[in-house]
Amino acid sequence: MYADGLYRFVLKNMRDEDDAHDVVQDTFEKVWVKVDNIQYEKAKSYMFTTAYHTMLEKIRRNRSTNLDEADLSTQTHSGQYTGANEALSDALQRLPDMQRSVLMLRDYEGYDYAAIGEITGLSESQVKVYIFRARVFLKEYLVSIDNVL
Amino acid sequence: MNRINHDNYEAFLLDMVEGTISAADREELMLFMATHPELDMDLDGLEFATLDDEGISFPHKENLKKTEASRFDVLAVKQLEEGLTAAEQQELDAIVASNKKYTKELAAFAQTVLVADTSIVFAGKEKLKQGAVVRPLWYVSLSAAAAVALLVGGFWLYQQNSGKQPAEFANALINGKTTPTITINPKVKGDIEQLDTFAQVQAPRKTITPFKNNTIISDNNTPDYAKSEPLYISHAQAQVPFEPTALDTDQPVALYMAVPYIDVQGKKPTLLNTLMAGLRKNIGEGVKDEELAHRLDTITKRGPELSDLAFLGSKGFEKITGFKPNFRRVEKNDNEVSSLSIGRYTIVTTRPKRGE
Repeated sequence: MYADGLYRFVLKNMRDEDDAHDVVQDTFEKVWVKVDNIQYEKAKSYMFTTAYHTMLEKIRRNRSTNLDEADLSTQTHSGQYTGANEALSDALQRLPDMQRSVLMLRDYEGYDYAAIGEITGLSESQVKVYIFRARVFLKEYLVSIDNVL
Repeated sequence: MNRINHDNYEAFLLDMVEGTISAADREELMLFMATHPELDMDLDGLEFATLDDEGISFPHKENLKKTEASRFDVLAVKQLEEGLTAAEQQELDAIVASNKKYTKELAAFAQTVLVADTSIVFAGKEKLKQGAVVRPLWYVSLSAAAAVALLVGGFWLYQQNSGKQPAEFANALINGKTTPTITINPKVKGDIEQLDTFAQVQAPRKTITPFKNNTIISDNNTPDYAKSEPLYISHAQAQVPFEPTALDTDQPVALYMAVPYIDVQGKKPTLLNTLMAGLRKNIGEGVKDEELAHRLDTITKRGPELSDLAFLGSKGFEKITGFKPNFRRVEKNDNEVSSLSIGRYTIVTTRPKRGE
């Protein structure tokens, strides 16, 4: 039921289809093991929490084994944007991991601040701050791109 | 003068190195050193004994300063996130009207709301399925509370009549009473009352109030063989989540044995200890049913938990406990009387007959 949403969330964060696929698969495996103890009403939140932490774990592993690879978030865009969506997608990848995650949970999944806090382990006020910073960053990026074009 | 001598000249040297020596003391120190060449002090070398900070300083001090977010940004984000009050909207409108750049920035803010690309889907959803169902906790806990209370009662009843076979015992209750009852040992009365409280706490949204109509009574229906324990629970209304007829279709008997509350209560009734012993003893044996085998395998790998019983069905229940569930139902006047025997344990329930 939540596989697509989980997959989009993870894929946008990790930018690697195979890794995203693995994380979703691992998430479901972990959830099935605990299925007896999961409240129906909290199943979705539980899955996103599990996916989030599984993703962080995988990112850490990937980073430790790929130290030589450049971080995409530090790369600059070399081509021309064909539309606002592409520019926004590029800007999204430049956000710090945490800001990107909370913004996606907010916009993609419609979670409130408290739920995002539960998933990410942040306080509600930290979530608000990260979302604020993320939106301001994206705005400034879009404005700067617009000025260049 | 002549304050500097062999005992204190090092203190003056230190002052000199640190630059805190006075001109007079410096002059006296120089004179002292000159008149005592045996000390062989290299005053120039002393100056290099200090630790050099190598000119290292944090390069981005400006970034550490707290910066006030622009009022425009605050209002624009709040507009997206939670909406503005009338006054805030007016304030934002005024800011936007004051400079053309804000019109562009406001439009850019609007674009920061991410829209999921629904064309991205997870391929291979079938692999994610395991066949298990996430059940609402209230369902499990209510069912468990009801069943455990009944099973504990049945257990004690049977214990009091250990000479009888379960089926015989059940028949005696079904055929001999118009208002079947379950005998309960006073020792477990407190447990049941606690389970009741727990179930209600766990299910605040449900109108079901298990055990609400249960009353501990001493009545004339006491079976002769249970006279020694003259406490009864009339449980006719306590079975809302407990549907013994479902056993006919192989619904998970063991669902009613799920005991997530046991840890909360900090108690493990004898019956559950017995079931756990069966679980541990039999968990590793093979089973024919593929689904059951898979679940048993999962449980075996991570270690069994009491709540596993909830998802194993009557076959799994028999497998892990060694107890085969048997169900029987008869109609008595306007009531339906059911008996469920699980190994040595027997549950008898009654309720108004259902309409056709």
